[in-house]
Amino acid sequence: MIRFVVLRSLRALITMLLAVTLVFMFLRLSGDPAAALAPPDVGQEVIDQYRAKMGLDRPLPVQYANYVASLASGDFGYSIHTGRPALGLFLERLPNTLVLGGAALAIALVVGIPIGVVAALNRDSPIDRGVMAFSVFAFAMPNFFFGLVVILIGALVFGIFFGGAAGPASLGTVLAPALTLGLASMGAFARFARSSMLETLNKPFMIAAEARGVPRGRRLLRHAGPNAAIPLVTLIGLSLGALIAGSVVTEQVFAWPGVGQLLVRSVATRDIAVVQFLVLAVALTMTLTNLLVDLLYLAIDPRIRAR
Amino acid sequence: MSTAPSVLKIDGLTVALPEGGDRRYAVEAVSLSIHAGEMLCLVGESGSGKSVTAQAVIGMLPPSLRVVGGTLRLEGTTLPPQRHRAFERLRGPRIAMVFQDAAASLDPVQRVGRQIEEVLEIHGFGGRSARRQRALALIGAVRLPDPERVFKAYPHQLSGGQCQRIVIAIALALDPVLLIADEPTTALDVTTQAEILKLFAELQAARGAAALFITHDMGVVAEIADRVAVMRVGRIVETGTRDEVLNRPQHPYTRQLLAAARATGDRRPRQTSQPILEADGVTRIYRERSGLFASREVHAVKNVSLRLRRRQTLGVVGESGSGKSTLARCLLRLEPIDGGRVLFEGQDMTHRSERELRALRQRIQVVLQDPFSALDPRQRVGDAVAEGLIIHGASRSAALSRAREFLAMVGLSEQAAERFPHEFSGGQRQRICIARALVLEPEVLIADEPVSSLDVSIQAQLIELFTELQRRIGFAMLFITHDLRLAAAICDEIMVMRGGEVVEHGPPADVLGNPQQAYTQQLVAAAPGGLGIRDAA
Repeated sequence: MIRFVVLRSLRALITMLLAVTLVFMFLRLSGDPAAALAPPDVGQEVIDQYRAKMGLDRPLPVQYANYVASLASGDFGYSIHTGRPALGLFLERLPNTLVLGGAALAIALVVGIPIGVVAALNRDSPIDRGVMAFSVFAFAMPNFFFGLVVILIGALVFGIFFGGAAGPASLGTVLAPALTLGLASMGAFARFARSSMLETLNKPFMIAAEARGVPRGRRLLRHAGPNAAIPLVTLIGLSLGALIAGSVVTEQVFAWPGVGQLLVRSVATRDIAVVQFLVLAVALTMTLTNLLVDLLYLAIDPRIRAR
Repeated sequence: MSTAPSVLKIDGLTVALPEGGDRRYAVEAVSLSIHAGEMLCLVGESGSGKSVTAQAVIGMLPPSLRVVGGTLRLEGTTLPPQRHRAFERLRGPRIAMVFQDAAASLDPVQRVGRQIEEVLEIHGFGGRSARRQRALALIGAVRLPDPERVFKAYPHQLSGGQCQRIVIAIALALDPVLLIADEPTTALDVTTQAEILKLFAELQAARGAAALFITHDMGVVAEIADRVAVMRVGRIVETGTRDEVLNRPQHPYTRQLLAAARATGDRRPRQTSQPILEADGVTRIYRERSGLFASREVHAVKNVSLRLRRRQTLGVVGESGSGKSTLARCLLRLEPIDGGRVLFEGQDMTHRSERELRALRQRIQVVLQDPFSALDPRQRVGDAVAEGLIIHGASRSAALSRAREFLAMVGLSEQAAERFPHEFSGGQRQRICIARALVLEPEVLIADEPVSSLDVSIQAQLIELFTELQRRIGFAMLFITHDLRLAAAICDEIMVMRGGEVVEHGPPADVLGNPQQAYTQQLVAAAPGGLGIRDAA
């Protein structure tokens, strides 16, 4: 079990190192940042000045070493437009994104899993078919479109404008974007919860439990639930990636002042240090959540603990 | 005993199958009764209705099956209707059930001790500490060592036999009056099977419970039954005491089942002929990863030598994990060989390339255990049989007509060639696999547990088919099985394997009649109902 934790942590560390290296490589591959930054009509000597200032005139290995060293010392670079540290910009926006992502995940879990379980328990009934039709709709609906529809309905039917959440996030303002962001995961969770539950319900140990006189409620809660949850945990871990990717779009649609919006703006304005830092932050989030999922397995599946 | 009231009394139970099935009733007019302390064995093959009968008794018939007649009484009281909630109070304290696959009938993410406690808890037994004491006592009663440790174990940390002991402990937890066991030892090795049978019978007798024991194996019946009921296509065809049924069977079907179980080793030794397939010190090592960089070597097959002569049948007997199938794959060169040589007609095949082996492949064919996964579900049976011929150069039409011929030879109809595998039963599919192997007219046939997944009477038919075809076509056969009776019935020579090594080798009468090695003696002794070899020796 200790070996499992150590191995998984090592793997996470290696993943992060790869991410750091890839970010470095791609930013060098996508053209000369100095030339991109400089005004279009300046001479070569100005560009060279930029290059020297940014350290781009040195050999690549040296640049790489400096880059890794500065990352390790907590120096993540500065925005070239505002001159503020990338970390500060990120931290300023992070709470908004966490609120949005957290709410989206919560909605997806709280709605998706129960309706999937209900569908499994009523297999082949109209309820089952209804849930499955809904989950296909939810999964297939692109969030930029659904978001616009939500804004439209909110404005025309209820007279509420969702599209410009300025100021601090609140329950009222987060609901519409969170629903938009969480919808696809909700559909995925519902389908997966249903199939995982169906599979578990037919396992011999469920029949054996019934033959021991274990009442239905207890069979579902104590035996089917924990067993069906094991594959679901993987899916939840993976869907965090979809949530992060989706948040970039959703924040844009709802003008939500989060990290996704910052990323889009930084890319548009070629604010390289900020883009670089945000990509790393996303990679770190993904790596850590997947590590967390692996560790969660330990808690719920004794067969993995044995390894 | 006859004055004691019946614990279970079934009167004229009839259960209807859904419309359009291959017969109207799953169970038809079944009547039987079991007294306290009595063990009734319900014998029959799969599909005979014995499991449906058990499901009806415990109130768990699937909704698609309807009880259309008859009554079920437990200690004189009529049982509730199927799937009624009132059954929840009976299951556990009054009726308990033991299933075939013990490991699968335990919740994989709960400690086994908790699962014993759960039955006690839901039926209101004592307080927390009383339940724990009871659970530990039960683990001791099913003779598992170190109950404290077993209590904390998860099912995957226990062996199949140990899991079955836990399941028996759960069944006994509330001292039920009726125990139902549905093929509880079928999934186990012979040695473990013997121990579990003994344990089950002892505990049942000591607690005075009535037992309904379902099995397809007359050997098991001989071992533990007080009375026997033989079922066939939904009806009970014969009932009687164990001695009556075993020694004076009335119904032809009972005799057939008995004959299958009593196959003897009276094979005339055949004339020695040239060896066709030889193994010389064959070794196969698996490397298991046991750390980031370290690995551990496991000898799956260790220094095995054998000589298979033309027209001869050599039996390889051993429990699962003894290396028999790996040996077969080595002989087929489907698996790399880490030591020793494989010779075909005296020529070394050990290091031949895949190209060079292609011609040889036609001459050594194989039949595998599971006829369900051995056939491509989307390929017509005729094409499956003809494929080998086409690969080895026959025209499509010639190959197909030859395939039909061989399908007929294994006892299938002309139309079989046009159909798909799912339209056939397990026994018929195995016939298709045999036709597919033999159509190439191989000189060696390797049969890896070819009948173990089939019912006893089907087994007997297939064994007859193997013998008959061998006489007609004249191939040599390497017959791999875990079943000593079977090996004794058809083999000229038997090799017993354990842990990858050959522990005993000789004619069946010697190996089984007078085993030299402790392990073989154990296997012979463990085979349920004795080996029948006693009659021959």
